[in-house]
Amino acid sequence: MPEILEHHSALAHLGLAARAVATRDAGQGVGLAEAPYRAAVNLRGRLDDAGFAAGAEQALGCALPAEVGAVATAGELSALALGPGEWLVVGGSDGPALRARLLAALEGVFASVVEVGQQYATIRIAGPKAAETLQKGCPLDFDAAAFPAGRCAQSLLSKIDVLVWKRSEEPAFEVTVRRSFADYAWRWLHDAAREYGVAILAG
Amino acid sequence: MLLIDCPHCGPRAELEFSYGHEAHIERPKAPEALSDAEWADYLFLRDNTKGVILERWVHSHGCRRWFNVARDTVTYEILAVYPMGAEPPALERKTYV
Repeated sequence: MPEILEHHSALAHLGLAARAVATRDAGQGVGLAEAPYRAAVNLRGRLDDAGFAAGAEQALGCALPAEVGAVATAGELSALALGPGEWLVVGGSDGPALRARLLAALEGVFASVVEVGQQYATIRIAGPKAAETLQKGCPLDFDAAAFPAGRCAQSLLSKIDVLVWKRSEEPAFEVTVRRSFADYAWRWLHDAAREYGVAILAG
Repeated sequence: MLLIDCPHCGPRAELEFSYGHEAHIERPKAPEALSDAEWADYLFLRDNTKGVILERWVHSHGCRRWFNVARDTVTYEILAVYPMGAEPPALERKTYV
């Protein structure tokens, strides 16, 4: 029986839980939080292959979005279109189960299903100055008109690769980075947000 | 900085892309039959055009896909973006002295 390892936060050394407050003060422009571990699977295949599209839809409960940057959500699972024929399926806290579910639905189909959840760390940034904070280090346009709710984009944030996802109409973004960049990303965001007043929130 | 219209992601800053140099350079069908000079030409020698050039770019920090771009090296204007493997579109090519 293999030992089941606990998911270890990439930012555990910062002691964020002890520094977290319940809510952001009215005077603070930005709230930062480390999102808890989230299962993620990199899914690749051809959407024009009916077997792939149907299999993925059966496993996810929604059709894969074709347009790069679009996100489809069903229940706790979301599929983020990273590129043509490439998606990041995220949701829940059981990566192996998510992978198994997709593999079962795509049996015999030309596809790639790779569990990548533990490779990433996600930081949530919210508040009226969240977009301005990100704008300091990222060439994407975070204005609500250019980056509406339900969109994601990959870009650079202060030289590191990021996946930014705007989940709702709120001025809030989820910034997903490679795990080894989590410390840098957190410190950069915290520093960039300091002039607006920043609250550390519980994930 | 250039604003490059990625065929998958839309207009993005040049920072997100990597340059792949001149496009449409075909590997010789029979490399063993080439002289050293011809092989060196294939490997190293590139046009240094003043005007429209065809080049490859990859959206390395975005969708990570390759594509071709037609760009004017004098004005930096991007005249066309077209997929890998496709023939370049017909373009009006300005000539410069």
